Amino acid sequence: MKNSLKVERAIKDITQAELAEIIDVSRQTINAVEKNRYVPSTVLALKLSKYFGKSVNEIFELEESD
Amino acid sequence: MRDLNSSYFLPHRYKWIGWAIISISLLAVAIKGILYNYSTEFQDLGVVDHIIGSILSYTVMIGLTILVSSREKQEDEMIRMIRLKSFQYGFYLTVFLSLLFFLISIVDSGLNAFSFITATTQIDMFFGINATLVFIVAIYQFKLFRLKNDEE
Repeated sequence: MKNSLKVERAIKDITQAELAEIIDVSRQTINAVEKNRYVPSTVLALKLSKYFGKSVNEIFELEESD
Repeated sequence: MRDLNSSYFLPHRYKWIGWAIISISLLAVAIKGILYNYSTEFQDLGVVDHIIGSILSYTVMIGLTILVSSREKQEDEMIRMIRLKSFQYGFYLTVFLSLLFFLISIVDSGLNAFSFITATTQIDMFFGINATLVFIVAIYQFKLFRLKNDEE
């Protein structure tokens, strides 16, 4: 699975730490999601979707290998 | 949505209580070892030495359990996943090392029954009651350390 979290974050001009605080996770978690090292739970994906005002499908995308 | 995972973990401050219990216990083990080596009076009290040793291995167990059950400063779903994975890897590591040492002791004993029994007894002592917990805590702390130092 890949995601456009970093891009979305750039559009909103917000740091990993700021986003982490809004979503109520650690900054490391945001970093790990951006680096494709951690697949967030549905709850976390929905929180991100809500914050960016975009659907989960627009932020997260399945890859061939999934 | 209700977070089912977070309810059973101890508060963050317990982490330091866990470290304190472990440190004091290990210090006591060291003092006991020194006493045993240098005091013949203490050596005569072999049973006492054994009892103290047993009690200390259980206090270490309590300390390690508190340590791995305490919330992190910023507990979130990824931390919980890391904690679970540490339990999984700790379990596998125990099984793997037990089997490895077992095979080594078979080869090492040269199929001599007496040396084999000695070797396996030593394995049992090494793996005592805390081996899996030690592996779990070590893997968990290592993963947390790596996470904190993974800066972009």
